[in-house]
Amino acid sequence: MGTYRPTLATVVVVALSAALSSRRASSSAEAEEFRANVVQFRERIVPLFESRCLRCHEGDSPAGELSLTTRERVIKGGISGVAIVPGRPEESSLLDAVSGDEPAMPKEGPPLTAAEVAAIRHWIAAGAPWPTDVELTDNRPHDLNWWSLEPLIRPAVPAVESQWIRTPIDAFILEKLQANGLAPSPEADRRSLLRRLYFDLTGLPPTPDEAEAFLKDESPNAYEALVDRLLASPRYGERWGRHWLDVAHYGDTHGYDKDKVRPNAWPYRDYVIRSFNDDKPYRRFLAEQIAGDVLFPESPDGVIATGFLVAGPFDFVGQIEVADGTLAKAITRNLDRDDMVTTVVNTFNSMTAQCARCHNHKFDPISQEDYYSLQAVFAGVDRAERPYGAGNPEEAPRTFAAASDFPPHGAFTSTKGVARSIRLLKRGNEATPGDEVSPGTCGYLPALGSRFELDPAANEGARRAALAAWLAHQDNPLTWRSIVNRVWQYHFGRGIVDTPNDFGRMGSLPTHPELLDWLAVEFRDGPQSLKALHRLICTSAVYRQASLGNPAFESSDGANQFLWRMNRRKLEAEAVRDAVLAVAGQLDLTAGGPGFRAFEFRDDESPHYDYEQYDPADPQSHRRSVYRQIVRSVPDPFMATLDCADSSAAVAKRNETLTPLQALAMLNNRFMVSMAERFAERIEPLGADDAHRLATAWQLAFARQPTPEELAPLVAYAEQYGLANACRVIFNMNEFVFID
Amino acid sequence: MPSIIPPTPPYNAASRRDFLWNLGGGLGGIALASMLGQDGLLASDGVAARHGVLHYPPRTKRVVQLYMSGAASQCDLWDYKPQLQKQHGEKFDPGEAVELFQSSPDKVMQSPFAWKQYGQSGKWLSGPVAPLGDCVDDIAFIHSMVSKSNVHGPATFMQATGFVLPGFPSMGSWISYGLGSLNENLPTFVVLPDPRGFAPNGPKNWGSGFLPAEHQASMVQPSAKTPIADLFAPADGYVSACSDADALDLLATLNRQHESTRPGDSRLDARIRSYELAARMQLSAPEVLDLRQEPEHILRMYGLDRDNTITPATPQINAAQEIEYFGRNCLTARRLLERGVRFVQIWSGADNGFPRRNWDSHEDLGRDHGPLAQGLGVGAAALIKDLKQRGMLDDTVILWTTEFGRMPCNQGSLGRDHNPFVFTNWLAGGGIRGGVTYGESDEWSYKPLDRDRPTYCYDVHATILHQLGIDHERLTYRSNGIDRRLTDVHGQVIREIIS
Repeated sequence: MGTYRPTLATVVVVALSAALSSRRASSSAEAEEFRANVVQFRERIVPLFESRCLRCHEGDSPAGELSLTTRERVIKGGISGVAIVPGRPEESSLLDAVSGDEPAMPKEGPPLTAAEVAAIRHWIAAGAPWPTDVELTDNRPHDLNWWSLEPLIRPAVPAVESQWIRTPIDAFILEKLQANGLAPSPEADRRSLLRRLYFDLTGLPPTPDEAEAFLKDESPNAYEALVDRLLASPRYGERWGRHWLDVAHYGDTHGYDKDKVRPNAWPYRDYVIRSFNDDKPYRRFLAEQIAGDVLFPESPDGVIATGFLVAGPFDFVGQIEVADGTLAKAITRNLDRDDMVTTVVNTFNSMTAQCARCHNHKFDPISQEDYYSLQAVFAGVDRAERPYGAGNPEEAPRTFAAASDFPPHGAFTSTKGVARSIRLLKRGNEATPGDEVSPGTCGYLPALGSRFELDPAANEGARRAALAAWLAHQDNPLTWRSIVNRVWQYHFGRGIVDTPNDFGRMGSLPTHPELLDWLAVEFRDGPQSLKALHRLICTSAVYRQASLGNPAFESSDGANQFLWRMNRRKLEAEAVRDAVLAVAGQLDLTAGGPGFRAFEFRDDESPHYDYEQYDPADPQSHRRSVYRQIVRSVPDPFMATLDCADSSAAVAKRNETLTPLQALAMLNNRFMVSMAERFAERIEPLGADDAHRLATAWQLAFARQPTPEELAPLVAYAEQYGLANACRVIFNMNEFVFID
Repeated sequence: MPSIIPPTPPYNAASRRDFLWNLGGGLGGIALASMLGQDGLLASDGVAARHGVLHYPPRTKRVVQLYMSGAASQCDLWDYKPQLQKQHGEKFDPGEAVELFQSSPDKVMQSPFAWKQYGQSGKWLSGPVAPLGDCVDDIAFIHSMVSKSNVHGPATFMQATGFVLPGFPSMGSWISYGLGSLNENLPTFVVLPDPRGFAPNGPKNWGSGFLPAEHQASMVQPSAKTPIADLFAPADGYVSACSDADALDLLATLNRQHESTRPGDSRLDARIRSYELAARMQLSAPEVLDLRQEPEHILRMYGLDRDNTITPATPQINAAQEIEYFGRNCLTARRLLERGVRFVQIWSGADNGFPRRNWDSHEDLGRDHGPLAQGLGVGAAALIKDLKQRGMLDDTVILWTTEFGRMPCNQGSLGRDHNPFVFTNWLAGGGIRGGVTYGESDEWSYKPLDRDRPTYCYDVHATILHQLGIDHERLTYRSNGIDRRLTDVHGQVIREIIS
């Protein structure tokens, strides 16, 4: 599969010079022979070394301490001594290693052919000519034979018969369950389904009225109606937009030294929420975030959406204080573009292009040239504010976006739409630039091509538009598999592929490849509606299962990868905080606009974010957590302790931990202590005595009545210490943070 | 804290098993064994827990990192250069183009401090760090350190995490992940920031990056009103010691009822136990921070008075303040280490604001470095001597570091610009050879003497992991498709400084 792709090293035109090798050509015949040997080196030895040896024998710590990247290093040898002695094949251990009946090398794949060994012998005998400016790099033939690169073909829905099946999803799941000797769990009780849907789709608990309405609704499609109602709620976009912001690593400050506030980042956050609520077709959502300003200039969202490209950190000092033309500036810009390339390819294609910054990807078919061609796509934009909307740009509102035209700020200047020159950096090092690279993308989908054919004079935006088209292409299977897998993950706690940002060889394999493809095709070929996808998943029988254990199945599938039950959800940091506010009766549902601060801010040349000075009773901070200002350098300690996403890097799947520090935060953080007091004030007038008040509290927190065994000790405790202390206990219960 | 719930294994179970089983012996296997248990790879008899599973026999159990924020000058503290005195006032000309952060090279500038030799090794130290003269024979100096960035933010990340980008775990987080806790009542990784504030990048410098949150540092601020956030409910509120204790009992009762109807989810029990551990921490932590338990001569040794009086911070750098704050952090560190905290990071210097509050002495090096270095000298010397007299220096590595160095020339002022081309690290204790210098700088302390053999943080980190019994190439965590390491794809153990 695949074809051999020549590296820069192989296409370098070598001038015959004294630097070529230690052998000097003294006559024209010898010169001719020497030239022939160099050609032989380039045509036979370089591809051989690059495809069979360099994977292990390059880099800072090569196998056996032997690097085969330059002549000097080869001659220096490794722990086994000198690898080649020019002119003396019989003394060259490299030749021993690859020849004989059972050659020691290469470690992987078939032994070298007799012709290949002969070529090495001949080359060594000829003095091992190797031009000094030729440096080899791992360049194995691209192996495109990998599940995620296969074209998308709609699989047939398995023909399994069962009353249990509600949707085609269930047929795929049931077939795998049966094949593995497993069976689905019974449907969860209605109260569990209610809380599951509310937290999953809106990130909030149901109010007692909402709970009662559903529990009393006896119509046959009461459940489906609830799903539709929640998907139509503005709370849905706030919940699911936050998932997207994890992947985009959105923040409201730049990060790094002198972590400046990014006051106009929020329009992008609101754009994401709005897009989810409006059920924007995914292709449009994708294209807007990469090149909306170019593709949809008439829409304010076109500009705002490119906030995606710049959502990550910005090295303010490196960009503004370091002069153009310096190595330090080159490093800063390289890392800045690296973040854009990484974010785009991880997010939309679930491939790790960033691994090809210093060398060709070690596992997946992505070359270093591919990687720098992606850098070239973003070589015309920087992270800066720009106006959006109609009217005079001077007076228009501003948003932090991909920008190519903005006023200079210190040494930070715009490109005016003329992309900067991008060179392939040998070993990823800015001090060793190679050839200039043209804009393009990864070569893992040969049918779609990987180098963009653009007018060299075109504005930089043409490059981003070309990338958006490539990503959104019907025949880019990764795009469609990637998004349906993400959605599946947030519903079930685990993706069909458990590494949502890596569908390459270092990632996990899909547990249900046919289901993944069926969902991807269904999604791609329909209106690309995320809400339709949610509806399909939430109304399935597999989603509606109880989350209880089953000893018989735990031994064979303890991780529940085949979904013989629903996974119990541990609430994310935002959902915990929002649920606390909601239950305490303090939640402010004001949507959109600048975020609130859960810290005191002061800037004396250097910004300070002080969470200790924050007053948790301040109502401006009682909005949903998605609207908080996210500080990169000083993450909110309460949220970070609850496994909130790190805004410095893409978080495709949050960690889930249970630590004593979390327990202390839930018990003692001033926000929690303050909200327990508000909760107590809320229930005080709602009952004649503590038993009734606490039963109401229980209803608010868990949408059910307490049992006598639960209520009695709680009431006794409240009578001794007061309602606020009792409410603090409720907030800390397992039932508060785990959703069945 | 001990890890209770593992993340869904992102790693290849087989390779991790190899990591754990390849080489055995020694201390510290408890956490590794518990990771094995969580992976379901370990028989329930706890063999590994009893015998330990590390790559090498460890030489040390604990690490202290002293981090000077703002870039402490190598040639004004540790790296004595008579050439700077000889050429003082002459145009600095190393014979090549020099690219600096915010200036062009001006004149060679001698150190404003007097230098003296100390110890059997005859190490030269400058006046402000003279208290460390008694310790030089325990210290290995590396004068050939190089950074990949000359900008504070990325360079500070690099020394802290091995990467110039944000989002990577700090060394302490890696060690917590690799070795786990030595105790059940205190965190594994504690950071003691400068009381004036955070270094560039803020707490991201000690973040756990993509490692689970249990490996992040716990921040302790012994000079602050609330030294440990959230350890107790606010004192002026409705929560009393009694209501808190009874709340934990009630919570356990209710959570057990909840759990009893939901078998098959170990997280429910783990969360119940996390509250029990939290209660233990509430008992242990205040005792550690009560420095008045120390005898007077120990308090004095660290530059503190008998009552551990906390004087309010002042905006101008001054020696009394540096000595008090750095000394208090050093003494607190010793008490944490004694009680089983594995990794302590102590910061000297805050952000890059004005008036100066860290080591970024562009304007007047003598004015700012002098007092900062006095505080460093008193506190670090006390820590080394105190650990030594308690027999703890043998299994505690101390690393002194900073994000980069400073130029041998001035920048049209009495200060020096950034020097990413050469700076100093030193290590002591934990099987590190004392009284040696590894890697010289050139005649000016401008670049490494042997430019082909610079030392990077990768090498220092690899060496520290090695002393802990860990092969730095085999302590990995898969994140976004890459098996990440503290040392990226670099790092050589510096055998020359290992005893």
